Amino acid sequence: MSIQRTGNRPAQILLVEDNDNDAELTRISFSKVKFAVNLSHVENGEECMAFLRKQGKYTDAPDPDLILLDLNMPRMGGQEVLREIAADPNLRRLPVIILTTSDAHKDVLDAYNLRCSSYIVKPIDFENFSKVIKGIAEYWFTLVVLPTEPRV
Amino acid sequence: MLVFLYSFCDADYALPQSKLPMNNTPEMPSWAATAVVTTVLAAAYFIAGKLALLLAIPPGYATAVWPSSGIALAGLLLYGYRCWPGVWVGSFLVNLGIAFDASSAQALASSLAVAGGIAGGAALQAGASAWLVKRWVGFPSPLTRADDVLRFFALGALAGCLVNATIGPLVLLVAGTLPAANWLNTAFTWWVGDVIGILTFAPLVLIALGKPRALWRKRIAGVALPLVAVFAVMTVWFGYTSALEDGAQRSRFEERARTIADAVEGQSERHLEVLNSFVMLFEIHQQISRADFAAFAEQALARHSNIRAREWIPRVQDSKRAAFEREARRHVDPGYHIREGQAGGLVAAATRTEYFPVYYVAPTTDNLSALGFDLGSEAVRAAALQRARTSRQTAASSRLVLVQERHQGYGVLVVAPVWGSRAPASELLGYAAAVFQIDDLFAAAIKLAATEGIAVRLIDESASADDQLLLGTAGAQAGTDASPMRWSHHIAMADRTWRIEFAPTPQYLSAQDTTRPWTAFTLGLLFTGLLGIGLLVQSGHVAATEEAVAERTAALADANARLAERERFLRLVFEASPSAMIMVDGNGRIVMANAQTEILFGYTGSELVGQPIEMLMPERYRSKHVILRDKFGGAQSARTTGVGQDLYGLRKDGSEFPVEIGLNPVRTDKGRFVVSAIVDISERKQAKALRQAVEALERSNLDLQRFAYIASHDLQTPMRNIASFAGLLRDTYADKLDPQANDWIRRIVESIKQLQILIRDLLDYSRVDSQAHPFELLPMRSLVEDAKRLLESAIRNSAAEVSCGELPALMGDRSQLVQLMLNLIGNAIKYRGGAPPRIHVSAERQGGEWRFAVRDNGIGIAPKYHEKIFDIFQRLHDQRVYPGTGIGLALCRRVVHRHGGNIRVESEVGQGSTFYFTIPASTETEL
Repeated sequence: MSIQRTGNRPAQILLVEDNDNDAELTRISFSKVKFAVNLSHVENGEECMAFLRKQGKYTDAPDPDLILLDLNMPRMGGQEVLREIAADPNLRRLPVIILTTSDAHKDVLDAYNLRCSSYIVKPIDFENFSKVIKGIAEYWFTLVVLPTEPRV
Repeated sequence: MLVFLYSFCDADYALPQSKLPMNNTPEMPSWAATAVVTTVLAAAYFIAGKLALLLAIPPGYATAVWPSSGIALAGLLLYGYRCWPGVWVGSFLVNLGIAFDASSAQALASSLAVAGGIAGGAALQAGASAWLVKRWVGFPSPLTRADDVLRFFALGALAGCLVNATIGPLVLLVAGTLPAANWLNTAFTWWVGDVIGILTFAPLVLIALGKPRALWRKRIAGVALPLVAVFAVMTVWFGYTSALEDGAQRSRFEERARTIADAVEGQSERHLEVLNSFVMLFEIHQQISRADFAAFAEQALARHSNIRAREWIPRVQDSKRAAFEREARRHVDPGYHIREGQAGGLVAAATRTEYFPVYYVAPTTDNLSALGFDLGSEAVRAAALQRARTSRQTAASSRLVLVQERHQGYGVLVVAPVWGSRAPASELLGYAAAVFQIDDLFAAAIKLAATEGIAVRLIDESASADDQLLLGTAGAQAGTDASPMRWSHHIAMADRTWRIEFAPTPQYLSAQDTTRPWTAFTLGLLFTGLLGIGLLVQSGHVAATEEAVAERTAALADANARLAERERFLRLVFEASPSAMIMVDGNGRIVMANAQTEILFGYTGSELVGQPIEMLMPERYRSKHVILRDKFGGAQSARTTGVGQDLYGLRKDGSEFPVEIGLNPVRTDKGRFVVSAIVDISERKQAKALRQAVEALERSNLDLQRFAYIASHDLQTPMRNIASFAGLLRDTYADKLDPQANDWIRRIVESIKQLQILIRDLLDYSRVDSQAHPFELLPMRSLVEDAKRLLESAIRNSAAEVSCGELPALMGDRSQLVQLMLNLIGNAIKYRGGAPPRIHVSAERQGGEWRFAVRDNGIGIAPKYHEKIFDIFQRLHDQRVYPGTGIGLALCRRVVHRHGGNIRVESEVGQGSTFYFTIPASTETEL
């Protein structure tokens, strides 16, 4: 068992997903994972930016260690969010994982061009989906040094 | 002969040669030909020279024209320097003819040398002139340019003739034939003669023989004939004036001679008269004393001092001799005897019957020795005495050498018989005699003649041939005298007939003023020569002009031909234009219409021309068009009408068709016209409609595809959700639910799986065209390998063997073709029978495409389904036995169609299947 690098606090994950069901499945998947995770969920891009900037109702929002971003969202889509995050000097450090159904090459390129950290296609069935979530957690919380790690 | 001569003209080598004239230029004609030419040249030179001498003015060497020099120059120019011997020989012969004197060896040698020297000069002159011409004018030259002609003559004639004009007279001077004083004059004359010879005759020879023949030949009429004509006229005129001059000369001469003859005759008559008066004196007085005689004689002599002696010759009979002598010694002279001549002296006369002694003689002083001389003792005198006695007339003797003998020359005794008057006129008393010394008698006249240079001869015709010459002055020659000017006159001397002959001496001849005709002739010939030059220049100019004109004409003809050609071409273009072209005048009438117009509108050309253009459009446009036409008339530039509009043309049969018209105004000097091109655009319109339909179809197709894509894509999410939650439900709550619920959940999950596959296949099918990639060259073999890799587990599980034969490379979409192979091979594996699948992929070239075959040993397909299986969602089997959506083959067909090929199957149930599909071969698909 790997040691969670976030130490004695749970990992803060921001899920940006417009589909409620997908959000639920994601939550379930994270719950099965052996890491302490606090999953925040916003439904669209504007909410995401507000959350990150601790605006409006998100004044007390925690700093996310990881952002899971869907692409196809109404009003403000994933690419726009990425752009905004990259443009913001305070936010650009945050790792963003695109988690989407689209495997279109163009979407992939665009996302990486906008400096996302990873691009993951949501598997169709739940079993694989759980595995993906598990993999994400293991990678990002044990292997990788997060920019938001507490400094010892 | 002329043709022969032409061929040897070395006139093809136009480079002037700066060699000395004596060098032989190495050339092709044979030496035999050269010899012929040389001989001809010599002959021509000689003949021309001889003819020219006929025109010579004495003395001998000077002629106003020397054609031979023109012939010589032309000859050397045409045939080369090597012909110079011809000139030498010709000149030698001519000059020899003039100067030949075989009287002595020295004279012979001299005349040969003179002739040779002059000939040398002539040859040198010809050579030098030729060289000058070749150097400064160039030969052969057609002499068409004025400065060429002038230089030719300036150098060839004026300069070149200085050669022989110097050498010739010099030779004569050295030989002594020409006095030094005359040298310059003679040289000048020669020079003029040669120059004029060249001026008049060189052109003639060149015209006859020069090359280029065509050009020189033209000059026959324009130059040669006038030149010859003028020359002939000049010659004739000269001959005429010469003859006139000759005649005048002759008249003058005759006049002089006559004058002198008259003087002589007059004198002799007077002398005879004196004699007669003597006779009368004696007849009257019968006896005259010496003093009387002397006085009378004195008187007579005073008037006629040139009578040598006057004598009284009494007849003395022998019987009376002594008495006579005694008488004479008393009255006349103390030493008087009757004497006779003997051995150069006078002795007492021998005894004869009669004596005729000189009794009285006057003038006494000179004639003393004659006293007593018996005239009868000398034959000639006695003959005269006898004749006078017989004829009873005065008689003259033939010539005598006088006793008195102080002068050279002859004398004549004239005796007149004196008859006694008492007797019946039969008794001869004696003779009155006069002795004429011919020289003295006619001294004055002869001196006169001499001063004028007229030679005189006095002939006693009555005497025998040997005694005929009484008097001959210097320069007078007997008989065959070359001079044609001779004149003679008969003088009666008593009973004899004398003839006095006059002939001009060379001095007389040379003193004649012959310069006038000569000058005139020279000027005339000079004029001829200049005429020659002028005609040459003019003909050259004409030739040059003609050449220019010919060139221009040819160029014009050429240009015209090209123009005509072009016109024909343009006409062709107009007629053959694939568009209908019509030309319309300012009034809207059709002026020209091409073939396509006729075809398009169904009229013939004649039906169109002259008609208003509106006849070709539907009624409804006509009035408007008229207005527009008027307006357009003012336009300057082209316009296209009918584009985007509905413009229609009207055919003869009444049908209409859509047209596009291009208009262009043209301005010609005949007025304003409009050229229009009319194109039938009905096809274009149809094509456009068709294209639009196709575009619409394509658009809708695309829309459908996009729709299919989006639809399938958007279906994924809820489907995933359903599957996930159903799965969660199954996993999480399996033990909390009853078997029924679990069973239903299981069915839900499986249905979802199926739905997902269906949606995925539908997505793939819809993507064939929308997610199409541009074609690239693909090796089919590697595509098959890709498909095999993707089917790896299926192949392993079924123990399938997939083999392939030689597969080509062709243009296609990689992913789609991989999908194609995947589907076909996958099907072959899936629809297997009991045996492990044996699958073979092969390709065969058929014309412009490749036919691929995928053969399997599967379950096979009944023929009635061979079409159906390619339809979308068509399945022949139960999902549980052979899973699948039924989209696979439809997809394959779509892919194959996209690549421009076809797909079909050959199969029987239980006999496996072979799927054939074609794809165009790569080289042919590229455009």
